[in-house]
This record gives sequence, C-alpha cells and structure tokens, in this order.
Amino acid sequence: MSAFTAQTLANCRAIAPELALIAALMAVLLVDLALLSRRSTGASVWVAVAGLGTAFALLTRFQPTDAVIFSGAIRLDSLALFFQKIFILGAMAVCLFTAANAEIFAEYRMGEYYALVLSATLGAMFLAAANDYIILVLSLETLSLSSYVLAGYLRVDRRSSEASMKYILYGAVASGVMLFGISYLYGMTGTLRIAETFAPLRQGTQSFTFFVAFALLLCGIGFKISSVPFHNWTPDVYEGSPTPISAFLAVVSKSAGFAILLRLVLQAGMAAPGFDVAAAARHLTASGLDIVFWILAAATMTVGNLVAIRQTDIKRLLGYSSIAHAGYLLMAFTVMNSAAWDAVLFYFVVYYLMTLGAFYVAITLEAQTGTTEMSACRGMWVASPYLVTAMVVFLISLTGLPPTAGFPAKLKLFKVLIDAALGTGMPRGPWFYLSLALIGVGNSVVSLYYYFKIVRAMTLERFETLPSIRLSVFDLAAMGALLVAVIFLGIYFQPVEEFVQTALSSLGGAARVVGGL
Amino acid sequence: MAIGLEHYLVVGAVLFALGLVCCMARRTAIGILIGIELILNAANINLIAFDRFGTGRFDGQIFAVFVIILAACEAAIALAIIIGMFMNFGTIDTDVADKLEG
Amino acid sequence: MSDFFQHFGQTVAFIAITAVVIGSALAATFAKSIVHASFALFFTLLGMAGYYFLLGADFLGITQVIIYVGGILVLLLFGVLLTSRSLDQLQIRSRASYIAASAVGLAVLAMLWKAIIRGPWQHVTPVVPQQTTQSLGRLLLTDYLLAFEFSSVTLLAALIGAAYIVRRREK
Repeated sequence: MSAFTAQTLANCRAIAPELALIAALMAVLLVDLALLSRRSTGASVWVAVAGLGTAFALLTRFQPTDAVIFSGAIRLDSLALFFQKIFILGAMAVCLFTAANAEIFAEYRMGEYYALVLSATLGAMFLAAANDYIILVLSLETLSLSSYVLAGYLRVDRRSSEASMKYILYGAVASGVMLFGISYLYGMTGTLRIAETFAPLRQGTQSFTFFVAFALLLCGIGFKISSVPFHNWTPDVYEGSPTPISAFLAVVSKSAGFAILLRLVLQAGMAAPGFDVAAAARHLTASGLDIVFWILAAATMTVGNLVAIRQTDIKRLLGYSSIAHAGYLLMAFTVMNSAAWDAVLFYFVVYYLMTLGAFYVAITLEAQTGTTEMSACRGMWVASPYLVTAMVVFLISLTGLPPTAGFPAKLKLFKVLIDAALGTGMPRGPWFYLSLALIGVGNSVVSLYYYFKIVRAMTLERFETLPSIRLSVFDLAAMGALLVAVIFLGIYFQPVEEFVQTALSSLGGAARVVGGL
Repeated sequence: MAIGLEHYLVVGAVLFALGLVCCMARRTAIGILIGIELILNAANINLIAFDRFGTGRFDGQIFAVFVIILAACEAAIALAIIIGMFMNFGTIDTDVADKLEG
Repeated sequence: MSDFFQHFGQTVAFIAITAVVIGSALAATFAKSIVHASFALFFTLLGMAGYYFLLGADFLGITQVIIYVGGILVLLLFGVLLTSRSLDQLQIRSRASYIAASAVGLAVLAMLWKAIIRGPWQHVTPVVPQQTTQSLGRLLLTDYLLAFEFSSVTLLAALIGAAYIVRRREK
C-alpha cells in the first residue's frame, strides 16, 4: 500500500460521519427502488433517520483537529463539528416532522425527498469544514441544488413549482457572481486555500481589486443567509415550499451560510494552530468591513421586520422573521471578538429550537387545515389549546423575551455590542456599536407586534367554524420537547454555553471567553 | 503586441457584465439561464487565464473543470424546474407566474 | 523570427475569437427572440473553447466543447422548444428594463475595469506543458481527490432531482 493510499484511508476515517450519510443516501434510493410497487414512505424515512443518527453518533465521538486533511481540502476543527452537529439534528427533525405530517405529501413519492434532504445535509456538512474554494463551491452547490428541488417537491402544485423556479434563478445568479469573485481572489494570490487568499488583508496590502473580489464573494453568501439586498427570494420560497422544507431552509441552509461566513471572517486572521480572533478582527476592521456588516445588519433586520408587519400568511411571516434574525446575527459581525462568536453560536442553538418549533406549528396547520393563512387559525384556541400555547411560547422566544431561551440568546448579542461600546481599545467610537444595539432593540419591539398578530388571530378573533385539529402522539411529543427545551434553556442555559465553549476551543489562544451574561 | 493576462480578464469582465444585464433584463426563465451561463463562462476564462499566466500549477484549470460540472448540474435542474413549471402554468414567463405575492 | 510569428498568430487568433465571443455574447444578451439568443450563446461557448486552446488548456477546451456545447446548450435548446408554444411570446421585457439593466452592467464593467487595471495579479512566466490531460488527471486523483469524489454526490443529487421533477405525473 502506497503512502498516499494509507494517508487517504486515514483521512476517510476522519470523515466517517459524512460517509455514513452517503451510505444512507444510497440506502434510501435502494429501499425506494426495492419497494417501488408499494408505498415506501415509511421505510425510507427510517433509513434516513438511522443514517443521520449514525452520523451524529460518530460526530460526538470525534475529537476536533486543527489539521487540514485531504491535501488541505477540509478542516475538521471544533467549529466545523459544532455546525455539523446542529445540521444533522436539524435535518433529523425535518425528516421526522415530514413523516409525522404525511398529509402534505399525500400524492407524492417520498424516496427522492429523503435522499435529497440527505444530500443537502451532506453539502452543509462539507461547507462547514471547507478549507479551499473548490470544496466550498461544490458543497454549497450540493446544498443549493438539493434545496431547489425540495422547494418544488409538490410538483403539481403551482406555488411550489414557482417557489423552486424563483429559488434556482436567484441562487444560480448568486453563485455565479460568487464564483467570479473567487476567480479574482485566486488571481491575486495564486492559491485556492481560503486562508491564503486573505494574505493581502493580513499584510495590509489589500487593493481595490481585493475589495471588489471580496464583495462579489459576499454576494453569494448574502444570498444564502438571506441578508438584504439578496433577501427577495426568501418569503416567496418559504411560502411556496412544502412547510418542512421551509423549516429546513430556515435552519440548516441559513446556518450553513453563516458557518461559511464565520469561517471566512476567521480565516482573515490565521494563526499557527487554529485562528487568531483578535488578529482577524484587526485586519477586517482596518479594511472597514465592520462598517459593511453594520449596514447589512441594520438594513436586514429593519427590512425583515417592517415588511413582516403586513403579512397575513404564517409561513411568509416566518420567512420575513428569519430575514430579521439574520440581521440580529450580523450585529455580532461588527464586533468580531470571541464574545461575539460565542453569542452567535449560542444564538444558533436557540434559533434552531424556536424556529423548528414555530415551523412545526405551521406544518401541523398545513397538514390539517390545508393552509397557513392567519385567518384560518381563528378559533384555534378552542380547537387545540396545546398548539396555541406552544406557538405562543415559540413566538415569545423569537421576540427574545423571558422566560424563554430567546431571551439569553438575544441578550448575549446585545451585550456584545454594549460591551464594545463601553470597552476601551475598540476600533470605533461607542456610538457605532450603541446605535446598532438601539436599532436592534427597536426592531425587537416591532417584531413583538407582528408575532402578536398571530397570537391574536388564534385566540382573540371571532370564528364561525371551529378548525379541526387532531394532534398525533408524535405531534404532542415533538412540540412538547421543543417547548420544554425553549423554556428550560431560558432559565438554565449552562449546557448550551458549555457546548458553545467547546465549539470555540479551536479559536486559538485568544478565545477564552468571559463566561456568563 | 503579445496577448497578456489583462486581455483575457477584460473579456471575462465584459462577459460577466453582459451576463448580469441578461439576467436583469430578460423575462423568461431560459433567458435568465443564458445570462447565468455567460457569468459562469466569465469566471472560467478568468480562472484559466490566471492559471496560465499566474501560477501554472493547474489548480485554476481544476477549478474550471468543477465549475463546468456545476454548470451542467445547474442547467439540468433549472431546465427540469422550468419544464415542470411550464406543465403547471403553460408559460415560462416569470411575470405571469405570480401566485406568490406579498 | 519564428517567435514573432507565433506572437503574431496568437494575437490574430485572439482578436478573431474575441470578435466572435463578444459579438455573440452581445447577441445572446440583446436578441429579441430567445431562439436567436440561444444560438448566439452557441458561438460564445465555442469561442470560449478557442480561448482555452489558446491558453494551452487543451483538456478544458475539449471539455468545454463536449459538456457546454454538446450538453448544456442542447439542453437549453430542448428547453426552448419544449416550453414555447408560440415563439413570439418569448420577447424581451421592455426597452426600459433593458436600458436600466445596461446602465447597471456598464457600472459593473467600469468597476471591474478599474479592478483589472489595478490588480496585483500573480505574474510568473510558466512553461506551458504540451499535454495538460495527464497533469490534471494526476491532480484530480491526488490533491483534489475529495472534491473529485464529492462532485459525484453533487451529480447524483442533480440527477435524482431533475428526474423527479419532470417525471410523468402520477395522477
């Protein structure tokens, strides 16, 4: 056996979770083929969930390494493992939600569905670990291409096929623009390693060309995280897609975009082992990138929240709300210190729970009433108090109020900005950070108003006919679990903090975050 | 005059700009797809020119191979979606398909 | 002397290809009918292959012809023919939107022009190898092994997705 083969086999052990997913993808297709004549829905979901479970089990046993493997293609550090874990849990939740609400897909075969969810998750996993642009682009496209099809999975439904067409046209333009930017970065540095293409930034020799290239690269990522001005597709796609897929896009796809944005930002300050957070922040701030993030954050949350006010469809409203949340997360990118990254990762854990919860309520509504219009929710309070209670808690958490997990999550984000404003030695004046925090607080107040609109429709408005809602045992259990998690983590969030701390451990020596709030 | 790197880059830039114009101005989905192909080709000519005049290590050409693969995947999915859409709406005009409004 | 002729030949070839590429790309962008635009794109893509040969990337030149011209473009034309009941319907949006888009395009072009002129590009004078295929093949199976294998998952996902969407309706 040659040295290269031995090396490759050793590397394959490091990507065992991904290989497990590939195996599951094949198994889903084979099961679907074998049971062609019968309904294979039940079997394929269990194969998919088993594959995801295996991958997760393998991931938890992994020790993060700061070494790059496969000749520098990927880097399985603690940050990558953190994102990979939440992707898998998110995808698993989406698979189970789909299986429990099979009414939405009554007329469709489901083998391809689970296969595509698996390939999208696989794309997201490699994206979180990407260390060179080829893997970045390939994994981003695997995630995107699978998502385009999933968005249009209800293929005789006009709204679903329209959603997928809008998604692919916007998405393909965004990825083309991104590729063009990457080609310039390559031309300037002669390498495809992400970290090395930022050498001009580190050496302070960045030029106009560098900024053009970097801006084009940000266009592609901005599309993925649906930041203004690349957010147009979000509400349409969320509304038209089957609701479990809207949930998948809101959690997995969006956090994959943030994972790569975070990695790009950190790569700007490469240190010998891991990343040097302080150096990254210094280099990026010197180029004024924090101002860019300031503008993006302010615009994204304001646009998301203001347009959400007028919405009457719950899915569409959650789409705008997810734009707003991208804006909140972008706030931390203006500060770029360890505390900021700590807050971002913490926010993601909580965001997963509350967003999946809110979407699960929407999925139940769609499966049982056939619509997610707010007007169809009238009298829901009488029909199913449990559902309404769950929705209220998830919405309180999305607003960021106690006693839910959304409160510490948002507080951490704001605290990062306030600390930056009060702290000394920050590159910008206190008002730079304080103003953004104030915009964020204002936006949270606005969001309270439109979230309350859903609650009002469900509880206060008059109704003629009682909506028929029957929650299955799984519905009760899934909603209950998310409900308990959201409330429990609002009071006792130590476990999440520890989880996030281990994720940040590869951020080099400067990553010791001052714990607590 | 010997043809150098910048000449190819200018061709790439022109193709990129034309691709963007095509995406913005065309109304039909296939028209937009034509614009996307122009943009991807612009990226590819850049990559190969950089490889030839810059590094000479073939990594740019490798990247270009992958870009072509992705372009093929994207085109296949996009056309499938467009045809699916045509079966539902009877048109591929992006202005007519407006079930989703907000 | 032969060096001069080689330069001269390259320059002439470059100018000829550029005329074809830019001309047909303009047509692909501004042609009224989508069928004309697709045919214009054919010449753009062929011209790109010409550039690749000129740049010494013979493998990519062939790939461009086979995949882009033979695959993607044919797919595109199928798409045009399958979806256009009446080709007259497929006109451009309006003069106004074209003017606005062209203005944006010109602004982008000006920005890129500045970027190209100022660009701190890597410049070395590498030896052009006669055959790129062998080097590329070796790289794909060593340094870029993961990307090479992973692209098969991408292709598989695209295959499943495309086949699912256009399959015969069940009802």
